[in-house]
Amino acid sequence: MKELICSTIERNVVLKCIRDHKRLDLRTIDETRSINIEFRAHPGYVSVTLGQTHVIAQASCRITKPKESRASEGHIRIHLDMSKIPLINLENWKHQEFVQELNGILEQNIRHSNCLDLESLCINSGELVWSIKIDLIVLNNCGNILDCANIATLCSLYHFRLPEVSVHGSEIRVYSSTERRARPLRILHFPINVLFAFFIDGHYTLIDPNSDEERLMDGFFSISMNQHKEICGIHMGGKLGLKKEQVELCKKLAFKKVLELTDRIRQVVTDYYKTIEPITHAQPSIIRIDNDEDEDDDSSSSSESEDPVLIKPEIPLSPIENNVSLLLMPDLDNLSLTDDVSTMIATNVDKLTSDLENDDEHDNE
Amino acid sequence: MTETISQINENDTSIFSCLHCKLSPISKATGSATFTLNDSLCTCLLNGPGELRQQQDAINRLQVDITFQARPGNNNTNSTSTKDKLIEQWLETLVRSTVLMEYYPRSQINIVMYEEQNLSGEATILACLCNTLCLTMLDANLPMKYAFAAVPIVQHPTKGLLSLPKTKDELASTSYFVFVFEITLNDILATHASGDFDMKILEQAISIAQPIARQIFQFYRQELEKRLT
Repeated sequence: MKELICSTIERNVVLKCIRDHKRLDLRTIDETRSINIEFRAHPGYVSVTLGQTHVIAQASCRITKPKESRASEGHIRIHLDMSKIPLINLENWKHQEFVQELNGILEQNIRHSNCLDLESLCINSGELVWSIKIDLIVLNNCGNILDCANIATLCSLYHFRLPEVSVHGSEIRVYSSTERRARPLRILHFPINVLFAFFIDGHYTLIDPNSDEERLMDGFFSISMNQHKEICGIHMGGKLGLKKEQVELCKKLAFKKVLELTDRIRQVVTDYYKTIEPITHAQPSIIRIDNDEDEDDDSSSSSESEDPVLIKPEIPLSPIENNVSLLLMPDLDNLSLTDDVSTMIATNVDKLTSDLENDDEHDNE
Repeated sequence: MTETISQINENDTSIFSCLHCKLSPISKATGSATFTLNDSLCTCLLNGPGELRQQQDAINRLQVDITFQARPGNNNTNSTSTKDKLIEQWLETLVRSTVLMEYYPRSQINIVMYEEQNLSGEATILACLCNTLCLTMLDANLPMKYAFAAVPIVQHPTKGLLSLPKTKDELASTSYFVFVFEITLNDILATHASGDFDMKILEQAISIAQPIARQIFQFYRQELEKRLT
């Protein structure tokens, strides 16, 4: 599957519009498209649309051995999958190069900026740590996959819940989300990426190009910043040479966007965990006798019949959302300490209480 | 069994609350659809009919290429598991029987299915996938012999046979059926079943599923009408 070739007429029209400082979708030069963030019932699963560009992200965790040089730090990996969309630039190798370039930029932004506190992922120093993996899948490419994927990664990290672990000597016990509430990841800051496209020898610039504009750009300049005005990553791609003033201007524009988006991401995730979600699921491993509940709100009835032994008694029950953790309860005897412990996935349920948001705020101070 | 009959009456009015769909969420694909069945959500996109790769050989007919992407992150590798491959093959037989393959010689269609949310067991997700696939093909205006709809039926230990089960019920049940019906004669196109049952239960399940399938076809019609008005 290949994308359609850009005709000369299309090219001329778009470039002419840009010269007149206009855009075909009636945006201004420094206006981004509308962003829509949706979560599913699985923690860490987010679907982000930036205009028509659609990216889904899923975070998952594994327990592995840490690197010898960094014995108490966990790992984070990002994998961007663009294999199901039509080939960009018509050639398979160009498409692959593009994917690798984007993957590299995302890794630099997220991993090298230390937005996730890797030491908090440590279980047993030198032996066991959590390894977080973010899988990004691009469903629709309408320009600016980078920004969309970046937002998806951050939302996914903030949304994800890590299972509780307790260490007894050389053995560890992983608790399912029904036994102990899964905790959020420790995110120190949000490095938001803003992409600028340059046209006609770098004379004209646009923010958040759509697919037509992206095909015709000379090159792009992506800058990743957080709300504390710290630059987390800068990348220049394509045939582009920029002056210092242009870079400064881009930084200013980017900072405005970053502030809006950081608030938005925080708000969206906190709202999700606050609202009463009707999506609920029975617990497969624990048998309980439930009364008939009404169709829409299963969560309220199941919270009443909750077995008090299974949850910490001091946490007040509230009929809020249910949560499915991605961790299976492994047999304690079979928990091996080799390099690649098999992925653990759970299908148990949990009730998050209002304490969770307090934890969130506390963690993100 | 009176229990099952009363279940049907309940479902008659409430079936449309279990189903939601969105057509053409992905603008660059020829056809795409997102479908929700109770707690399961699937997205499917279709590209085609387009050029055939050189290695493939489909002189007189259409080549169908289906990929099923389960929720990422569960396995270490990125390749499809054997279970998912089975689902792909099952869906491929459905597509082959439905689409008028002779109309597009030396072409191929690419179908990608994403499972976005799956809180219950296998029955609901399989039915959700089938229905999403049908809606996607309708959205892509592919010439089809008939539309099809899948109905999940589970056998609960105490409540008997339930159609379109809620998550709680499905997780507690022992065996399940998924029947795919087609719209013209309401005959069975495909079946998938798992668990312990006998012929009597199977026939009972089919008789429960048939009216539900008619309602799902009504739902398709409503959704497509919304798009055209």
